[in-house]
Amino acid sequence: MLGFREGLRRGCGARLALVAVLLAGVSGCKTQDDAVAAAKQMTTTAATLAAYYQTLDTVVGGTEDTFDAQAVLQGVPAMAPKTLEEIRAQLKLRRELAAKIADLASALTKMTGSTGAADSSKAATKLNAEMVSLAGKKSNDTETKAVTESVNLLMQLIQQHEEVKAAKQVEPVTAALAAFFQKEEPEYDALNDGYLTAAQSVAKMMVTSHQVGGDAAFVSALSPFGLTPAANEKTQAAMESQLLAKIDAEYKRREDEAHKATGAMYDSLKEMDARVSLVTRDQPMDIRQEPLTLKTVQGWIASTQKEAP
Amino acid sequence: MSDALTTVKQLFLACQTNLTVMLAACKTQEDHDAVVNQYVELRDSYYECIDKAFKENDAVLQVLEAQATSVTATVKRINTQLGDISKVIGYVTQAATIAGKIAAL
Repeated sequence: MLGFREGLRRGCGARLALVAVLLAGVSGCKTQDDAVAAAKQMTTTAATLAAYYQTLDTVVGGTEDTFDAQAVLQGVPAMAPKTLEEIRAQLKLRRELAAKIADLASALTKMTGSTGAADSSKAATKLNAEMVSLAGKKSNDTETKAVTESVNLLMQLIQQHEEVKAAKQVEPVTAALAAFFQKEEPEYDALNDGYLTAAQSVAKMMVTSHQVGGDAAFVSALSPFGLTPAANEKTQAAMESQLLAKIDAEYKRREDEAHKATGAMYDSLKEMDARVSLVTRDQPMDIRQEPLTLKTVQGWIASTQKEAP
Repeated sequence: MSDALTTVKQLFLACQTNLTVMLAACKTQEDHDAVVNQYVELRDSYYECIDKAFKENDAVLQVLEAQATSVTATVKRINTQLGDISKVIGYVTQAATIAGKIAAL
């Protein structure tokens, strides 16, 4: 007949193992990996969204400077700062929203990175080791392993259940955020278009009035000899058509780049929502890597911020 | 995009692109002033339309922020609960250990 402690040890291990096996049959552990991936993507997307709004603010700052330059060149009154300041205040509100999403992503990341299962598993190992010791058994008893694994699995399942519960709370927020961004996409593009068109206008005026040096075109020819170009007005006039064509080409490229970045930011938000939604439905996440659309946004952010005064 | 912004955008961008040519074509100061005034009005309307569209979304923005804050608190609470479950197992371990030792006496 089994002693009390031996019975407790065997019964506890067997029951835990049985429950864990039954639960594992109901739901696999992939949810946790998916939840980790979703939380990671959410963190990057929130950071990119904040940087996107910060870059739009830089664009509005550039617009203000461009209108000031235009006022000097053409005698057109500079823009009253009120409206642009209000737009910048609105962009700040959107950055704050992105910060809230980052907080949420951080809480989710903590949850998905919880050591609860491992901690419980260690505790269970300790429990069983004590019991084994009291019973005078060998410490590598197979039941020690069974109890440890069962507790680990149980904790993972509890965590998994809680992750699905959390994702169900998060999903309406990610869906609403994507819809909100989509609604404002035309305004974001309008800010970029307004800036680029005004900048193009000022740049062309500077070129046609020969106030832009064409020195860059001569650097390659002169640099081997340690010389620096100083193109005179005649040379600048000869280069006019070349410089105007360059402005048009660059305008088109930047306009496309900005529009693509806005579209890509929306796609990233939509993808984030889709992945959170998969976790809520316990469906497999085929791709866990960060979406490539985020790279498109980050590329625009980097090039715009690099050229900011 | 609102219809207003769509219309103003087309007009403003066209006017901005051709501003230099239009100003150069003015024969009198009166013509020049008229073009400048039209341009300034279009430019201001363009940015006011953008600002207005942002402000119209203020309510949605506030709801989204409140929702994000509330869900963050919920996720943190779930995190704490998960930690608590882990702690309970730890307590059970300690209790069982002590009980076992007492029984062995």
